[in-house]
Formats: sequence, structure tokens, C-alpha cells
Amino acid sequence: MKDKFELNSNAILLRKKLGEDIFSPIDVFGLIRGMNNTTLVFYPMSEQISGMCVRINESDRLIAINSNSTYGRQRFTAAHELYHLNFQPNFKNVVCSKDLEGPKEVEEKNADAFASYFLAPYDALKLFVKETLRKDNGSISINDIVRIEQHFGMSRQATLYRLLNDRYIDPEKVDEYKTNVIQSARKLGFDEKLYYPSPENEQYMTMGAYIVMVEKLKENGIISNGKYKQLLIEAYRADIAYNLKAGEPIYD
Amino acid sequence: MEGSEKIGRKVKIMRERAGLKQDQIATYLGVDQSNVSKCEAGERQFTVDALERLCDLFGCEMNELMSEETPTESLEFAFRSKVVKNEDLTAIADINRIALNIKQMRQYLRENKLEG
Repeated sequence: MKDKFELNSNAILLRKKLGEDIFSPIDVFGLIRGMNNTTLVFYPMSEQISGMCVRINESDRLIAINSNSTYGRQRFTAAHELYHLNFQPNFKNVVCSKDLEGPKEVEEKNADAFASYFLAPYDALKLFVKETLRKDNGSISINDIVRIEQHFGMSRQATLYRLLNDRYIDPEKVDEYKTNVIQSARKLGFDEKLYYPSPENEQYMTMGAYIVMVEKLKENGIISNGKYKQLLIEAYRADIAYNLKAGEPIYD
Repeated sequence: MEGSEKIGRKVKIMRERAGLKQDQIATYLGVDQSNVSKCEAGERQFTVDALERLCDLFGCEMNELMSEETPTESLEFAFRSKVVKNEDLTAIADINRIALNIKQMRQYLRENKLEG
């Protein structure tokens, strides 16, 4: 496995490449949607799989996220897949496991550690713990864990995985932090979105380059209206094909 | 080697590379395991519908499944794929279908000089 300094450095490099600094929380889905030739798919999968990514050709990429995972875990998966696409050569199509703790292939471990540093770079977490929480390693409480995961937008599993690996928390205490997850956030007045899967009407969704390509082919008369609709429906975008959600425009 | 034998052998290679068992492919296709076994051995032919669904699962096009060349990169599971559920094979195939559409759309854009 690559050492954590290299993976943190890779995470910071990618952040910079995407125009992000090294301390702020990031909108990982917004970044992916803005990446050239990258398509983002949300699809409900079993509890075994976190997501997958496909290197389609020399220019096009696809990232798929298990929309049955919590929003916090979906963000972690997106960052995990960015590792495969940006730092792992020689693969075409990889399906990733949801388990963060079990035995894994080296590149999967690298991708997990990268994802953690991409969402919360080493120095960003260190500064947050020291300056915002005013804590030292070893004195982190459940309330601090909630504030860390809410600040950086990570699931409880991903947060504990990181805090444990960077020795912020005692391994013996991890199990007690795995329970009452939503309740612990609710009691501190936080939004609960991080801890729930995608709403039912957003479980199947395609965004990014795919939609741009379909529209371009249609606008230039390369594909028929029937093919246009077929491509959109196969990507779960009947709303665009049939203008279903248009409603009244809101300009504010 | 006959066409059906060639395709059967190719399906077997791609299935084994993905670490999937015959019974998983059979459940995914909605056929008996013996049917998959016979098709892989070239004793029977996969239906066109089954071949299309296998292309979606492995993320390849029909001509790749029929060519002599063995793909160097194919579907990979980063965990023990023997325990992958049937619903996940359907999910993977649906997502690969989107990837194959992208491949086709990129080709259309290139042919019509509409890139950039």
C-alpha cells in the first residue's frame, strides 16, 4: 500500500487541479459534474457494493454510486472512484466493496485512504481538531466525531476509519461510536441528510457528460427524436426526454 | 473453430476473469446452469438476447465478444465476486449499458466533427 503521505499529497494535488484549497469542505458531486467527459450515475445496489467506475475510452469516464448508501458514504465512494480514475493505471471497469474494514486489494486500500484525505486532507482535519474543537488526539468525544463528519461531509464509518487510522481515537472505543448515529447528530442540532440514502425519486439518476452528449447530438440533428429519448430513458432521465419536472420557472 | 464455440470460449474467459461462476451467469440470464455450461462449450448457442445481456455485464460490444482477440482488461471485482448478488449483476449491466452508450455517442460526435 502507498504510504499515507503520498495519498494525502495525491488528494491535495487533485483538489488543486479542480480549483479547491486544502482546508475547505468540498462538494465532491459538484466537482465531478463539472469535470470534462465524466458521467455520474446513481443506482441502488446491494449492501455489498459501494460503487463502480469505468474507463470507457481514452477520454470518457463513468462513476457510479450506490444510492442505497447514506449520503455521507456516497460522498466517500465518489472520492474513492476518483482515485481509480486519476491514479490507477491499467483498468477498465472496477466494482468496489462497501466494507472499509475487511481484507482488501492494495489499490482498494489506497483508494479508501485517498478518499478520506480528499474529503478531509491531513492538515485540514488536524487544524479542525486543534482550532475548532480545541482537542488533542485521544480526547475526542462522540460530539466531536459528529462535528468532524458534519464539517467534512463523511459517513460515520468513513469518519471512524480515518480517526482510527490517524490515531485520533482509541480502537477500544470505536464500537460505541457506531450506534445511535442519527440521534447523536440530531442532539447537536445538525441536519440529518448525511445519514440517509438518496430519496426514492433520486435513486436512479445520470448527470454530467452523458446528458451534454445526448443534447449535442440531438441539437445537431445526428440522432432522431426516438434515439434521443431512448438514450435518455436508458440513463434514467425520462424527466428530460418528456420534460416531466419543468414546472413554473423560479428566478430569484 | 465454429462461431458458437468461439463465442462460448470467449464468454468463459470473460466470466472467469470477473471471478463469476456459471450459476451466477445462469441466474442473471434466467436460464439453467447446464445451458450456460453447454453454450460455453460450444455445444449450444447463446440466444441474441443472452449475448446482448452478457455484453452489458462485461461492458463490451458484440463484435468484441465475437473477435478472436481476448480483451486485456475487463470487468473486475475488488472483492470476492463469488458472493455477488444477482441484483448487483443487473445493476452492473445497466451501468455498463450507459458506458456503452457513451462510447457510441463519442463515436457519433467524432464522425460528425462535433467535439470540443
